[in-house]
Amino acid sequence: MLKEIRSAGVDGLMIIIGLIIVISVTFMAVFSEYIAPYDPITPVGGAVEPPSSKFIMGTDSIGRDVFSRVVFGSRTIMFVVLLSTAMSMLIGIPLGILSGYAGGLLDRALSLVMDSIYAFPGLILAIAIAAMLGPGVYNTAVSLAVVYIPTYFRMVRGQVLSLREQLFVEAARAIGARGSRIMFKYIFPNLIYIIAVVFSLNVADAILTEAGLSFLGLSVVSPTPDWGFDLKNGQRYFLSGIWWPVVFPGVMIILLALGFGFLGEGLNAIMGREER
Amino acid sequence: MLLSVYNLVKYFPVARSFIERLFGEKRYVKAVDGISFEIGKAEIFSLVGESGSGKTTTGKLILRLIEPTSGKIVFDGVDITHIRGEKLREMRRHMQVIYQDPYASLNPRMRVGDAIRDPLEVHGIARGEEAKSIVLEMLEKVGLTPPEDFYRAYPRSLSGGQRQRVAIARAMITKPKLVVADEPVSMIDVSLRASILDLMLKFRDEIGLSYLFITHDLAVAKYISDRIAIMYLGKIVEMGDKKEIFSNPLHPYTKALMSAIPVPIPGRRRERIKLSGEIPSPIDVPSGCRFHPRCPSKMDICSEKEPELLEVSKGHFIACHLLA
Amino acid sequence: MLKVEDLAVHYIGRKTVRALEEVSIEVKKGEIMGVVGESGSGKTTLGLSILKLLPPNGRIVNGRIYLDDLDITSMTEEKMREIRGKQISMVFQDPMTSLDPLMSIGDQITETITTHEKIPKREAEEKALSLLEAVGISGDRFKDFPHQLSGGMRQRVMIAMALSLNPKLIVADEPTTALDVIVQDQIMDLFRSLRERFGVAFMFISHDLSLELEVADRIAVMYGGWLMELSESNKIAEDPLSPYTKELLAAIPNIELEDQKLRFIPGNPPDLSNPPSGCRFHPRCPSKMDICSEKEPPISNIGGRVVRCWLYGG
Repeated sequence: MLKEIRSAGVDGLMIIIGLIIVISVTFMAVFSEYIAPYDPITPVGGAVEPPSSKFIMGTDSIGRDVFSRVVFGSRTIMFVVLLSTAMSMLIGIPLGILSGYAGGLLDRALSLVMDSIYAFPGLILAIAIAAMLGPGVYNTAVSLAVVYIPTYFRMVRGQVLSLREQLFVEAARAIGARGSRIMFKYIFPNLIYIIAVVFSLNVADAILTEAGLSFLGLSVVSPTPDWGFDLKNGQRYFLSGIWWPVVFPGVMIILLALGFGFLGEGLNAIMGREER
Repeated sequence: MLLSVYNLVKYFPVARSFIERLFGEKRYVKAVDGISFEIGKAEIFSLVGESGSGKTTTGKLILRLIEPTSGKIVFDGVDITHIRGEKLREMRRHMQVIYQDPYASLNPRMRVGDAIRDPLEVHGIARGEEAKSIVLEMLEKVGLTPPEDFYRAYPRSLSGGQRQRVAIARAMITKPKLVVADEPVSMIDVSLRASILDLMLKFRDEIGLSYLFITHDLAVAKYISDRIAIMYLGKIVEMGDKKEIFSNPLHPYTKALMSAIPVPIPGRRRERIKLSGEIPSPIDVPSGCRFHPRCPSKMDICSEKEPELLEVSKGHFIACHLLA
Repeated sequence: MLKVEDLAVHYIGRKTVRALEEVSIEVKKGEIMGVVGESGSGKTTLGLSILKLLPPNGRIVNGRIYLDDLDITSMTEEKMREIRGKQISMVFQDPMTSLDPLMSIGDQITETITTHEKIPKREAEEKALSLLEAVGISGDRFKDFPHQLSGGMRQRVMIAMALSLNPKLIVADEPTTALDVIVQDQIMDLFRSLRERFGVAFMFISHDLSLELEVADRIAVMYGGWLMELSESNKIAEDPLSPYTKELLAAIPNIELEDQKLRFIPGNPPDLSNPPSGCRFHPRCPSKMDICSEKEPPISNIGGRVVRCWLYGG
């Protein structure tokens, strides 16, 4: 795998950059206690103090250290997004495989449901569900999960439809293998690559949606550190020239989304080459 | 008889546009249009024909990968024409397949050892270490040595000839009674074909299995078969013992085919029986004898009445008005 | 007329594939030159190189290609476009992907002509009509579309297009592999009659040695990117020089023989990213000597016959 990445040129570069970003942020999320100099929810300085050697990213409107909030915020967003993605995958992928392989009425019914959900713009749907469920980390994860189930369903179903026609799948039928065995041993392993690609691109999208939700105050409860939430709080000071409460969380959102995006695009390009 | 086929028919409906559906009649691709033949134990029976003859469809019908439109298939005493579910699965233990394309017939994400082992597990013949040792023995038998290396390998690191050996191993592992081989050497280099054919013959000799050998290549059919049937546009036009057919071909199509095949003798232009035109589409099948538009010996009756497949001498069948 | 001298073509990549090395072939005016080989022999690469249609990672790393006296080896794409079609044209295996499904066959041939020659459309159409008749397609099918034609007829249309600008050479790569034996026979007759009538030469690339023996004047036998033997067809079958040719002949099922002992060549075609030392065929050669695995055999000329083998060299 590594050998392929290294020789893949620009695409390989994308994967490497993506990986660096994702791994760094994950590291930040896991070891927040050790990286952040201060408690993110307690005021430790004066309000909106500019970046200095004491507070390298300055303080926010209540005097909390922006840097510490950024660091702990990575944990919040990664947790919510990864939890919701896990839920989407656990539901969307098996349903996609079943629907694609079995076809018939089941397929048409499921596709109808999934397409209907898919037709909604992601953020709008997330807002609707979040508004119903109320704030909180777990509720937010559920709203995001529902929004993205159709994505996995459709991608997987499409791939299964084409795999189903492949000669080696017919060969598996000729051996006498049951449908479940075929789906598990013959179809699923050939989906891994596309799932990885969809995963990366999907997480990138989910990050932006989560940030959107928290910007609107619909995701986490204050004072949980959250980039989107901090973005919302900081924006009213922006025009006065107080840029640091907004820019740092904002840049992090973009950076993390880009990181997953690069990862996904790079994997996608390599996948195109692998299929020979 | 191991396999008996009676009046097997397979029509595929032709997709039609909305207007056609309102005003037109139903149209069918008459891929297989009433064929009957038998295959005995430890016999190699070749079905020879060009593309559009229906030979591949016949193979799929026998394997029950598709369902016949009408007719009967009896395998090892059991009527398998419409079986499903568990019974179908059980039948599959005794009837296996080797495909033409060694690149497409193996799961790219499954190691060679696992692929060959799968039928053992599917049919509950063996599992775990026992299954592994059976597979290793089989790998030796098909000439993929050292077997441990090939057991772990993925198909992508194997050549076409090697992959076909894996396909053969997979087909033979359950010790089937009948193997349907669909053009098994057409995509293999000429210099390697005999090794694959000899391997297939070896299994016949050792396990006593039979083959339904599907090919367009009469020369290959001559090398490997015991009996041959020649198909044209969904029908069998001639059938019999290999030696008899090649020394005494009777049907005009058979004669034309034999004369058209290149022989490795330079500049040799044998008496070519020239046929005009090409094989018509199986959607618009000619009336009467399907071959009549191209037949050099055509008579009036040929466009009116379809000839029956009749036995003209011991074991030699032909469908042609010339000999009726 | 066409002269390929010492051609070497590599496919650059993670592992560089040495697809052709030291290949020299000449095609005389009006000759049918057969190029026969199995997978990895380089026969398709040879055809593509002559037409400069190699994929982006294919490079001519050595040797020269001459058309009459013109060196086309390093010719620019612009200049090559003048040559392609007009002097050398190509027919591929699968006519369905080479024909425009939305244009009638007559119009496609007409367009090929008018793109390259400044003649009025009416004249070009007449020419297209006569070409169709020359390849055995009746004129009333001029307005038919490719999907209305059978495989054999589509291939004839491809041949008509290849002929439309009166090229000196047509390179045909497996032109009949996808067709049935009877149609194949018809197409071979067509090649012969076109050669008679138009004086066009053919480079006929195939894996089918029997077919080549029937139709080609001379045959080049290729293996692993090398030219192993080049002789007149009758000599190749009666008295093959290269052990590879001998083994290949013995591996072809002959419908006229009874109880044939069909042979095969043990082993596999060579990995051209890491070819065997010495002679590329030595790992599988029944006549192998010690020197064969050590040094590459030179290309010998024995009475007008070319062979690359230590049995004759040195």
